[in-house]
Amino acid sequence: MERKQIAVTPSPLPMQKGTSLWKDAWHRLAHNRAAIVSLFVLIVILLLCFVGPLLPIVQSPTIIDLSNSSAPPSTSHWFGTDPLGRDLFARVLYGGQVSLLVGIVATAVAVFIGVIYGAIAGYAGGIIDNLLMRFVDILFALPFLVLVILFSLVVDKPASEFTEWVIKTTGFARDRVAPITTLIPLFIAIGAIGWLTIARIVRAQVMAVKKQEFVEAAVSLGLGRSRILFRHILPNVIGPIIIYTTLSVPGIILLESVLSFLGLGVKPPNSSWGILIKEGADRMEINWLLLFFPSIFFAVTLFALNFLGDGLRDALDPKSAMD
Amino acid sequence: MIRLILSRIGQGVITLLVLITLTFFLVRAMPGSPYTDEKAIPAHVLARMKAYTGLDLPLPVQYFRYLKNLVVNQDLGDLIKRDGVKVSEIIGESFPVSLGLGVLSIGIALTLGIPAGMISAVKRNTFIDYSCLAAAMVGICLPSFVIGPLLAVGAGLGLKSLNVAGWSSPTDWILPAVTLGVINAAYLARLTRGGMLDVLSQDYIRTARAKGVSESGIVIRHALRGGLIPAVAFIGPAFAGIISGSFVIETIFQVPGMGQHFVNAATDREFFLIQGLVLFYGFLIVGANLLADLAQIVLNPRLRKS
Amino acid sequence: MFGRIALLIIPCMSLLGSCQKESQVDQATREGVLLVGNASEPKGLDPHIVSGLLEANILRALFEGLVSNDPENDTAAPAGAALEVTPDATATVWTAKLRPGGKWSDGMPVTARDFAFSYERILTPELGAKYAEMLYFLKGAEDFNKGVTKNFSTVGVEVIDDETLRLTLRGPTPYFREVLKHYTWTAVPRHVVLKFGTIGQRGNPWTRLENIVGNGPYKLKSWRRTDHIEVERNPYYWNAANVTLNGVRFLPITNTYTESRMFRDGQLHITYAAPPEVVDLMKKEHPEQLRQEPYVGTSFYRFNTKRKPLNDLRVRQALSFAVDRKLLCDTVFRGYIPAYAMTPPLGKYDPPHIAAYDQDKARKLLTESGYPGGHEFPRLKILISSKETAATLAQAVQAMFRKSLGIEVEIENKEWNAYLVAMQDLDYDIAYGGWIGDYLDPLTFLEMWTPNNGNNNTGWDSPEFVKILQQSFQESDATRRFEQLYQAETILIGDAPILPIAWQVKNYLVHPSVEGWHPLLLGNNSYQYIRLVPGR
Repeated sequence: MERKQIAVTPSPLPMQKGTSLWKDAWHRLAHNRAAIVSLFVLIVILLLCFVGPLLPIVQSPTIIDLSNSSAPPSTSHWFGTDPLGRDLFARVLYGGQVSLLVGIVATAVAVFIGVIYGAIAGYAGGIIDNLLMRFVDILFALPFLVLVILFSLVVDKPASEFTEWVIKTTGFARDRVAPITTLIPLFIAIGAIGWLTIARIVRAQVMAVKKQEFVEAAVSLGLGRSRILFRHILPNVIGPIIIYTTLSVPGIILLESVLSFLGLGVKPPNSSWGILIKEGADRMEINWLLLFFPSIFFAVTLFALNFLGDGLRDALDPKSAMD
Repeated sequence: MIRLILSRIGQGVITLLVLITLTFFLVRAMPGSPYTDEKAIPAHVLARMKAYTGLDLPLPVQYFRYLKNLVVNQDLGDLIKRDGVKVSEIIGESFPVSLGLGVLSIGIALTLGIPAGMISAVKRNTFIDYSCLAAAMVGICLPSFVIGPLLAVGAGLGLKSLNVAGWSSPTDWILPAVTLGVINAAYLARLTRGGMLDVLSQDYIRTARAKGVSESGIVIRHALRGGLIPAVAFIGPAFAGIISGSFVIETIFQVPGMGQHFVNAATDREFFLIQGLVLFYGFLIVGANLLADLAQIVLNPRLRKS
Repeated sequence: MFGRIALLIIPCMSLLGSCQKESQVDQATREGVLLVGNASEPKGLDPHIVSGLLEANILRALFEGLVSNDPENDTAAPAGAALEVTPDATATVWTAKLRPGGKWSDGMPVTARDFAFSYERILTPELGAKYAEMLYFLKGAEDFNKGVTKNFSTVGVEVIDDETLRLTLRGPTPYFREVLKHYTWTAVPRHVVLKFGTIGQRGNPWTRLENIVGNGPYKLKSWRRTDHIEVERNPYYWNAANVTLNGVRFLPITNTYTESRMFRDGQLHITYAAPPEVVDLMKKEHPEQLRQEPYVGTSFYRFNTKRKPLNDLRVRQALSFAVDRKLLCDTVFRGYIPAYAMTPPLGKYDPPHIAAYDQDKARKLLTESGYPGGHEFPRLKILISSKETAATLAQAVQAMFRKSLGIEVEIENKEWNAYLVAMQDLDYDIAYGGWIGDYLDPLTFLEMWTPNNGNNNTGWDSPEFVKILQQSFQESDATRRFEQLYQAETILIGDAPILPIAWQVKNYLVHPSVEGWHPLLLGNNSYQYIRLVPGR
């Protein structure tokens, strides 16, 4: 924080800012060099993973060549090959599709539920808060593995029926449709688990903010409760939400590999970053490149995401709006 | 305050009852049973085995039997696949290990994470900030199943005085505690930084600055209290998880802790062990959350009014 | 980034490490204690209740049967608790002469009554012993175990005197000594079992650390769950003077990567297994410490013969001919042996050479079955459980089916119990499986395919196969019996309810200080004659 901000400004009501909030935020973000670089890196990785495989230079990630297993990088295989002789570069890109999708969709689901739930609990307080939070406690304590096993049992049939239905109605090739549709149960499962901690964090923040003067002022102005909560309180707790969200993305992406291991999600021969990293970790003393390449993609993505998150947090901080 | 605590304890009991009821029926809905085996057990043997554990009774009867045994005898039941072993024995043996390891790793996490987050926030957007951020990101991006083996290979194999795994000498605590601690330190650092930045831009801090309070005084006396809220909200629920063990850490470092039982009990369909563990874990969560809420009230004076 | 951290850490670490300490293996070698990786926490130590390999590893130290394991030779059956076990002319009635003066580890004498009691106990219906079937070799045992009769005197177990036991079998069993090596045939101490409970009582605490008594070369010293089990010399063992090893420490290490790291760090003498990646690493670094030994285990796929199109023999054969087993053994399994039948070659028994890799035959058979070029072939699923080698294998086989037959199969991964349930309910198309023999005879690989066996799980039911097996139960001539078993296996593999892939090889690591650890087909090495030589 720089010294020039010390000048005491009268505390303005955040609601006065209204429409210019997003414009200001974008303006501030554009001046944050780290955030802009990160945004650029993220776009490059997204393009690599989703558009790259359409190019002819990227090989098939599933063609097995047992005579060429665990090969070092070469001109024909840029990242070398995996133990089954498949092109690791292609596997990292295709695996990235799964991991990025999981990271985006499942995190969105988790954050959406967690923020609303936590905000209501924190704002309402009293009995409602108690009831809602005890429910979170119960979900927290329920045995995760048991739930996953049960869920994969229930979801098996509908998921494959849905895949068939999509293939029939859209006419797309199975190889294009199936890897995406089989992820839907995964989104649901991760989303359903991931929101619990977010809810607790948001609740704690809302409880802290709701006693502040500007909220009391809004109440005295006779504003509706939901308006106060969603228009005035939530923007003030958006910092921790962004931080925690970007923090939880790696966990969520890696959770996918655990669930896939239990039969929910990615089916072999398809892969994901989490699965590739796990396979690489097992073999790191034999061929450390198998761990290195997927980890680098994973780490760079998350570095960028967290820098961008920090930038967003700073940009959206209502308190720094007047600086 | 006392009324608050009492009412929370009452809620806790109800929470645990709901939890154990749900668990009881969920585990029995899973495919397979404790008696599912690679080679199917002959029917006449199976009937005897079920009669011994009471799993042949109708579900409601089993349920009330379990509750009665729990309340009247304070007994969590026996293991199904291990003859004559009590659930309480398993928890009693493994929890102290996980508790010790968990407390140590939280200690590491707090001493590394909170100061790093504070420094990052104060020196925002400087080289120090970015270094802390980068270090924290390593802890966040590398899953425990990568950090663990890396440490085991790097430190354990490279170093004669440290074992790569096992639980026979006091130094065996180091690698698992560091692995767990580094991961949580990373989360704490990031959350503390965010929380501190929020607080540092608040009016009362500006007022304090205007009054000429020194920068370090501001950080320690005023900003830290509010700035720790997100970290506390994170560590509360995480605490129960950390002291009840981690499957990954325990299998990588061969630690006789409680985390592996959560996984093995579920895959083995050890019904009573799952129930016992869930009840115990639920108890920890209820307790930890109560403490976290109290801590938040202490950290945020405004909440005391309610 | 990691590089920089590693650069910082490693010098610090080596500074710390410069004060060199004796490794655990060195210390244990000096003390004469063998450190053994043993996969997982045993389900118990009651030989009548447990049913696993890792339990057997510990039981072998604590209990001794009528015959014992030869440390070097698979088929030899040296004296154990009995001086000799002799058959009559038809190999149906066997007489065991117990060692005079044999004692339990609490000093009480081991008598024929203990053995009779043990056999009665494992067969007692109330006990619900999972592996009671192993004793069905005894005349009348099955009826008693199933509750048809409550009178144990109808079972072929007879105590002649304190030192003589006579066992009457259901038919000629020339290989009975092999069967007797299994831990279900060892004795439990009657006086101890009855002190803590009744004969048919489950959950009897007699096997707890403070109570357990055995007749093996070792007795239980300490037991800390999921950490270790340690055994020490049993001074009452009949051959105690010749026991060279002072004790064994079993470590339940579930993660095989952790186990090999511990081995390389000097914390283990012998590992339970070595994952394929470690096999490669050890081949490069310490080939002398890597053991790759044949094992009586088979990896195979089951076909659900009740489901279309797998109910068509030609389809099953086509799939079998499409698999290049040699390539899989070399790459995925790192040294397994390509299987051409279910039973691995055992002594004089060489199974029929039927399963093979032949793409042309595979295509032809598929065309004949109505799917030329794999056209319109339904998408089958390969069911696997969450074990990594199975997943790797399935992906390779998936590619082979595509290449040889032009068909697409999916891989369905299920959690272990869910996988077992799906298999036992015949709710699958193709399922991965493995089987490890209980004793050294082809029967242990063939009997499982009879229709009522808990291991069949394919829906395959061949009266012809059952008939020949039944005949073999009455055959006392060993050569003719093998011919019958060969015939039965020809039917089995010809009918292809299973697709045999590989005969397993046990990959594991042995420290150079261990002397006298010989390759055995069942991996049932005795500990007492092992020597630990320091300074290697």
